[in-house]
Amino acid sequence: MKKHGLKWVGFALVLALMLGASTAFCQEKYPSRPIDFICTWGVGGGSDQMVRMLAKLTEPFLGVPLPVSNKPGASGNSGTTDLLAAKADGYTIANYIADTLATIPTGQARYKMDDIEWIVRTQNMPSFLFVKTDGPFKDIQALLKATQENPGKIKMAGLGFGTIDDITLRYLAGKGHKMTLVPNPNPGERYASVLGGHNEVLYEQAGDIRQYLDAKQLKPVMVFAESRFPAFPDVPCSKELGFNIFLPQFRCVIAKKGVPAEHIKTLVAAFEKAMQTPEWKKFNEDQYADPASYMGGDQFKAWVAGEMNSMEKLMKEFGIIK
Amino acid sequence: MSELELFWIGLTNAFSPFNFMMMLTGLTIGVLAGALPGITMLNAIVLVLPFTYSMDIVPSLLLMTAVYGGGIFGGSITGILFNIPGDPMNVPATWEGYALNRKGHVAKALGVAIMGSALGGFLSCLVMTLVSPPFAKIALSFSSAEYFAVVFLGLVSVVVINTKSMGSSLICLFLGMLLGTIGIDDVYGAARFTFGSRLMETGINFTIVLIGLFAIGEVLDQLCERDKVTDPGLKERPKVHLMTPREIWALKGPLLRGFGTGTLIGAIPGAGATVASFVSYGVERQVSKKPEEFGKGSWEGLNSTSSAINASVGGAMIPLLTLGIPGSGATAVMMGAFLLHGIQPGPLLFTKDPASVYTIFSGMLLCNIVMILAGWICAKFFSELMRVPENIMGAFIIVFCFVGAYALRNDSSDLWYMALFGIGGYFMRRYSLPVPPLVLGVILGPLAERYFLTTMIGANNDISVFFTRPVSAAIIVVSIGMFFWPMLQSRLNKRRTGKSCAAA
Amino acid sequence: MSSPSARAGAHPPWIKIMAGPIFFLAFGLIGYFYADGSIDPAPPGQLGAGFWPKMCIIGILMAAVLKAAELFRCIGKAEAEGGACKEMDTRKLVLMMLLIVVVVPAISFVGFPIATVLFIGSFLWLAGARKLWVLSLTSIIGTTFLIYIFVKVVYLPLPKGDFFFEDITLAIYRALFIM
Repeated sequence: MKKHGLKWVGFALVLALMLGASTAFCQEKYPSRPIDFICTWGVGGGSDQMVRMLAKLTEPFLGVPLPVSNKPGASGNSGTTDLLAAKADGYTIANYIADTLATIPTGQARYKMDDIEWIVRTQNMPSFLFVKTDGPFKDIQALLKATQENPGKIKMAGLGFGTIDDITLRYLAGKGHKMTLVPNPNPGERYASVLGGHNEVLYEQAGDIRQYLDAKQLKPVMVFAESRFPAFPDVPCSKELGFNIFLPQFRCVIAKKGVPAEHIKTLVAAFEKAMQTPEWKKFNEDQYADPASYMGGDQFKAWVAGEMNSMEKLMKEFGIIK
Repeated sequence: MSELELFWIGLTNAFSPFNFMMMLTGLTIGVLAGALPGITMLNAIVLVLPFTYSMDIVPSLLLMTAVYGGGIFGGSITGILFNIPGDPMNVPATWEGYALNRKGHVAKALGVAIMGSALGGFLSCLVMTLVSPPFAKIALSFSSAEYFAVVFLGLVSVVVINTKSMGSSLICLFLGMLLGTIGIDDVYGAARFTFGSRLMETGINFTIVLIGLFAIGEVLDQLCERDKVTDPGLKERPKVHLMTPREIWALKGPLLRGFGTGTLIGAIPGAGATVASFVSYGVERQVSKKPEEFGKGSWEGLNSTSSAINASVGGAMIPLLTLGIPGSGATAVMMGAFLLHGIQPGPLLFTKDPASVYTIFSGMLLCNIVMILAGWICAKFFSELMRVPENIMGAFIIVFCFVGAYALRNDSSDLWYMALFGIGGYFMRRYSLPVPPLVLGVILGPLAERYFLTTMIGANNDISVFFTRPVSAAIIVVSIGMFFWPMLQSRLNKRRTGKSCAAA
Repeated sequence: MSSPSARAGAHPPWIKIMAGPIFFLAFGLIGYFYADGSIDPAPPGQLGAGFWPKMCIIGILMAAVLKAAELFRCIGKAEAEGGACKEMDTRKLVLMMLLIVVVVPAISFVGFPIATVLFIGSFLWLAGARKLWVLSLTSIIGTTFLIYIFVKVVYLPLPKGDFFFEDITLAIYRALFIM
């Protein structure tokens, strides 16, 4: 027995030594170990591609890998909740998108905007209305006329009730263009329903359905923005048609509130450099994102607050929230 | 260039040593991951994704399809050997395979599962190669009403399979569907049965229900049995007997039926392989001349379901390649891999980059042949594990279950569910409540709900939409027929023999 | 539907036979009213979020009635399920279940590596292994193998534990050249 006892003492000593060494090692500089990057949406989707691309491109600038783990669920809130449960040491970051932001005013999210450190906006993408190229609607005028004549008859495929898609649709209904929202959270099925002619209109960002645009199976008829989108100069924007609703989709990187300011600075600088690489620029272009997507630090935080306020206002107007 | 020429080029590409190695590696990883409880085929595909960043598109796609095909089949091995299916689609193969194992036919059961999967997969890849575009057009004409009908058929077939007690099956099925509604709902964003806790908001992942109920339940059941007599037959080193051509010919009916159902159902987005597996098994049972063998070790059932699960791979690749629509988790990851290489799967792929497409086609055909080899190797390996002491196996199975539960979405709250369902699995065995309907309810319930609600919203809440569309009407009528026919049959039989009370 | 009754005698009291269906009927009824009260009401003209769960519960209720009918026909007949049930070592079973439950918070609290070593060790002990070298070697080599695969190769961020346990876990990772 004595022999065993000695062994245990030795084991404990080694452990203590390693422990001491490791804590000393930890405090050296930031980042000194891999940074966990939580993707708040499922594998293979638009957010996932963005996170994996960004992680790959940022690694050289931070000097540590950024292993990506997906934690989808509850409109991106499962991953966010986990980020907020982790230590605010800058070793856990996550992505965040406009659809998740919309859950703060509805109360579905359990946190407030101020619980989050807003690092950088990586992609800003206006939403479009798409129709089938060989379908009944030639352009937005034809679609608007049809919605006026048969309120509620035209079906639009969108994400779900209470989401940005729904808000936009209710806004249009208020202007006399009522369509029925057919919700489907699975993107593939949503696109298939429009391609197969089961729903007439699709609300989406252009980057997610590039293959159908390139193959001329779907075409955009309107962009929700203040000006026309450079890649589609013939497509009218909502402002010129008198619809003052924009609500772009955006993707960004966040951390938990309380991460030391110099760590945030390190991260912002690294992401900015990553976003200037040609790979990223090409990626952004392929996704039909705004070329001026980058926005960092305080400016970004103010912008997010503005977006959330306009969502909240519209939700109150349509009775989605009280 | 003619298609034949393209196909030939593709075949020579696929035969390059590097590509061949990728295939074998992918298949082995897939089979291993599929076979380990808790580590699913989807985990494995996500795992290999980063390795494909630095590769060309062709080897990376071959690697991923190999993992996909191997992963779907792999769970059958542990199912047959240990009564623990690796993934939900391997449940029917487990019923028949484990029963055959207990009767001493383990070597041949493994062989039939391997060959059934390989041949079913090969035939469906042939369909994919030859008639992808028209097939895709058919798939596109299906709306959510047809999707609902197919899922409905899957739900009915699992109830029909267990004839011991219709009541118990239905209770478990609806209980599973109810469990599937826990969490924030997709369509309305409403909280359901969350009792105000964060733990419940994300809902219950079906993989946890599956491995908890099957794997942990089985371990507890086996290890805690008093005065256990170890069956000396099981401790022998098992062999794997592949099927001879004559045996394949004798089982051609189940093989072809499984392949047909698998390919068709695979092309429909949603639960692909799982629905295909149960439906083909249910159908086989209806048409079989020896339905009494089902559940007690039926070669037909095993062959049909094995063929169907891998046939669903070819089916699922059709909408992905021709339309750019990923129907399942696995194809969604593959779509991501395509995009990361700057290739948009979809209608233009065939005109823009036909050489790649045909390399993928021929590679997948080849893959299914190589799978016989990979399956044989892995089956051998897992057979060796049968000689590991039961308690050590049990401990590691449980650890794998926990790691797998965690890996699903890197969430430690899922571990609570795993413990809960593991213990629940034991009690379900104890009170003879069937596990498969519950698992299938959890998997298909949410899909059925989504398709049902979407269809109803699109049709202004007019339920007749399911019966006015010919395809959905036909499938629903067949399902209802499948549901009532065995009841009528048994009623008639009972009247004849005057027997009742099969079991509780 | 439980088998102890079958062992006890040929004619168990009906309440014992019907316990299962009665349980599910009660469960369904409570569940229905809970669902009705707790899920957001449907927007006008739509089925709403509550429709499907309520339908499932109605399904459970109907299935429970069917089950009761199935069992009813069996009352008074001695040919119940018979013999399918195995004798279980209840003490071992309860302890193993307890271990499976306890390891869940342990994984979060002390981190995956330490919790797994302890779990495998105690599980093997419960399952009858008594030799110290079997227990320690199996658990330590097994755990090392697992964390090597899952943390190093797969990059799975397994829980590292709270407080100083996180540092210990990180130290273990460093010692194994994982990080």
